[in-house]
Amino acid sequence: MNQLELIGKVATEFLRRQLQNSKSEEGIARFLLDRLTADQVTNICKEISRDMLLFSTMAIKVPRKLVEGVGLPSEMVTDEKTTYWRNASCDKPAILLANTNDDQGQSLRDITRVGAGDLKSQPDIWVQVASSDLPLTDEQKRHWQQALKGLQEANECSLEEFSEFTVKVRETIAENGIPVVRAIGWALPALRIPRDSYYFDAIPENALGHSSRWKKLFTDAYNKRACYLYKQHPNRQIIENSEIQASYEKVKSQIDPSVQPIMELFIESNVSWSIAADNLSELEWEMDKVNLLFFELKPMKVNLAEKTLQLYDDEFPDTLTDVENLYLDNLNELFKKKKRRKLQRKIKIFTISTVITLTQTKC
Amino acid sequence: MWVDEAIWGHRLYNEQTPWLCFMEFLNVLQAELDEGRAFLEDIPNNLAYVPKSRLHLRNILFNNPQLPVIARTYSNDDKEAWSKWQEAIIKGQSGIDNADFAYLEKRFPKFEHFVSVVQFLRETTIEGENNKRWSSQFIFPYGPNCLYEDLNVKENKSPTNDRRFFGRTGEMLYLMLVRSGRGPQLLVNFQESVLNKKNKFNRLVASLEPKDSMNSSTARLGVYLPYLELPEYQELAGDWLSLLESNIPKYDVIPHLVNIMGLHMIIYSLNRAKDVLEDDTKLTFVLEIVSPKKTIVRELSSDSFTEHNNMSRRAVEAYIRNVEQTEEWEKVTDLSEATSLLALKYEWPQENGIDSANSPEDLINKFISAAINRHKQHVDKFHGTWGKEIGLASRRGARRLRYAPQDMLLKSLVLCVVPKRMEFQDFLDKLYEKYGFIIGDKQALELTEAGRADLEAFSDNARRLEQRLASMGLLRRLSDACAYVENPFGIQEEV
Amino acid sequence: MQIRMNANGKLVIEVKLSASVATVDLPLQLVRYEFLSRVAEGALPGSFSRECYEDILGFKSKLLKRLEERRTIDEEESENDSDLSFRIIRLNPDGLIDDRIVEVNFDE
Repeated sequence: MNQLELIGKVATEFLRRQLQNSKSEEGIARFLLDRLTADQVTNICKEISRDMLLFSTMAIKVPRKLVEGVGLPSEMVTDEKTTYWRNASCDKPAILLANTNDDQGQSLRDITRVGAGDLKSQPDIWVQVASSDLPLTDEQKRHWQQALKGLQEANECSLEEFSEFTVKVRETIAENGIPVVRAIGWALPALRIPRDSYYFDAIPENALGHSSRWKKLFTDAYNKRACYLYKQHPNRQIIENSEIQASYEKVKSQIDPSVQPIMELFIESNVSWSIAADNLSELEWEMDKVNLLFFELKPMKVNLAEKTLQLYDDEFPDTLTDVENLYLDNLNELFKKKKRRKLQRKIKIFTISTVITLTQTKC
Repeated sequence: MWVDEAIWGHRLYNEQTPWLCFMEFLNVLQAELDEGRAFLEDIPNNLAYVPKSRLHLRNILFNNPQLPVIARTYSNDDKEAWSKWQEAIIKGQSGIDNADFAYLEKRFPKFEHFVSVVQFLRETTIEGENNKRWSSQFIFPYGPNCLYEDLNVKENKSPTNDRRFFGRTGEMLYLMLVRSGRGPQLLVNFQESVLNKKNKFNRLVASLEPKDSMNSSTARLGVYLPYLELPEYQELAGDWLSLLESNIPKYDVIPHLVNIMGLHMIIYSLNRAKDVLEDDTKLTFVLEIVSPKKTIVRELSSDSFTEHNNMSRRAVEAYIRNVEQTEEWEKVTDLSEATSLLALKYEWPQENGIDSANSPEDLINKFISAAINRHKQHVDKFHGTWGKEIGLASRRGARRLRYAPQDMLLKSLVLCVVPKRMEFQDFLDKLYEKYGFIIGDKQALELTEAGRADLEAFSDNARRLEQRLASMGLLRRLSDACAYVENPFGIQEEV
Repeated sequence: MQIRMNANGKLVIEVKLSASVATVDLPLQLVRYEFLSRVAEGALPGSFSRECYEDILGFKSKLLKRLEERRTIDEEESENDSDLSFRIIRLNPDGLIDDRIVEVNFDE
């Protein structure tokens, strides 16, 4: 199942439930696929037509313009405007419409809208559909649901991205039989977050049913890890290629040769999303040591003294007095000294902790 | 070195805000008008103009801290007030040889009138109260006597043009308008407003200068705009004429001229980068109309901003790498030939040189490094700084800078683009066509079809724009499906 | 300046700058009326949308435009005026209007 097919199935189930709930009401139940793409609408229509029962109760009339050349049966396609079908009679108790770009402003009282947001807001349907034929317990399904809820609260993603993510979770469970929590971490690249199968292990077992926990981890992943795929620090400062290159050189020896080409391609690529970033996102954050690449990188603290000297050199040569030059030189030295001291402290800590680890292992 | 200049001209300067660019432009225009050469260019890039220094005026307005104290102390004795004030200003002034301010007493029958006038004019300072040096403060351009160039005025030294805030972006603006071919039309409009010396406020400002004041400014030369013809020049001139010829009161139109000009300069700078990168796709900006909560559109507008912010740097690198593709480079056999070639084409390396390179390839890498370092000083920041200044980019409601237009810019766009009234969807189309703005779902098709965003995210974005415009009195909703953007100063009759 | 009913039966504030130029009208709806009353009293609750404020700015611009027209038609901007006089109107810290005339003797 691909992400469009999943959307089709989810929408179908959504409509099925809506019909169930409105069984007692009078008149024709009208639904509108609101501002969905042609592909999405097509998949939904095809899926409904596969469900005999639903198809028998629901007529479909989507604008020809929207689904031109896709091969939907002609009874599903209409040349009339959406406003016509708002009131027109119909031989089935329910009717499904869709709008195109042009007629979105129409007043839609008495029509139930089914838009991207409406579909995304039903994580239970997504899990129900995506987990069909998967060996999952009810509890695991619930965890998955809460994860999806937490994701939505952390960040808005498009319908297709959301669907893609769910598809990937399903795929890896189906193919590799791994637990839901690990599968969710595995599928992160679909959200443009680096893969980390063990990421959600941080949620204690008894808290997996709380969407707030998932939300927190998703938020952190977006804010503190996804940015690196775009070659930016968490504060959005650009990371220069030379910086990553230097960092890479330091840790290269610890990186498996098979993934080195992927990293190298990424390092050379441009800032912002690229295929290289895509490929990098599919490496495991910890296991493939992607984190090492970014570990040492810190956004640059501006050396004001150096920058001031540079400015005067470039723009106003020979205008600084001796006193001013001396002041700036001293400031520059102080900055460099502070930087050196910080590095020395880091090395010290690293050395000490290494010694402790070694002594501990000895014992 | 000559890299940024070859691509963008000499020069785009981030510390010169759009308003100061406009002021520099007016100085150029007035100076050339005085010589009978307004908007004329015989030989490309040969501009040499003499702006005014007006040091009496500026000392009175901006280097005059004693005025309020003297006014209070001698409020009942005009003669004493004038005498004490003249003593103080002669002592405290800078930049004028043999300073004499006696002419003022005859012009202002009462000292308190003089004080009121000074106070009034100070309140029209461009960009309001700011921390710049007094010789970089400018008043509103009521007329030619309000125009003067940015100077560095130090005690006991001659004033110099240190290009601190008039960094030549205004001179480039002037050349762009000259080359648009619509100079004469623009001139007619300007002569009715900012270049009209008979305007009452202009005459008031003129009254603060002595009749025969010395101009200490000399000819300014050296501006360089590489391209003789560009569609951007036409677009800019066209937009200015739309604004000038609409019904907006003459002085009220100026902030809008500044905003629209800023937008065109940003587009110019990005398009030149795209040219070097050989990217001929249409330049587009994803705009988020600020929403209370985080949406996909915010992400995308952030990405759009970041991508543009880095474009110029990539262009610099690509420009230098292009050298390696040339025939001349292929013929180079050793390091010294490489060095000569680069020095000839790019004025780099300089005599005092850099750490020695190992090979021609290494030299190129060092060159790129040096060029990017230089680029980061100013031109690299142009897009971000000007984007914020004109209200195109902001951090409102979020940590990241992104394209989130502010009300002032939206108003300028309506006044510029809408003849009198225009259907809202047509307005969105027009903004896309003219400036590459992606706001509604129709313009966002590429993004939605790639699955990056849902259509409804963008139609919600457009809805928010409708609401913003309505709250500014610029949009009228006639029914569910019908909304019209209205320009209260539009002149076109309804179709 | 007066408040009257226009041809459509709606109340407007009408400003006529001179016999030679058309009037400038500000239609008075309930909200606008209340807005202006509140401003006159010196206090405006934050619940008033910006729309009212923008409306008044628009009205001001129209008035300025009309003033420009009047000056051209009535040839007011006499170029031989050697007397420059200005009326400077300010709000003092107490919210009261400070209106003073300033005169300059300047003949170019």
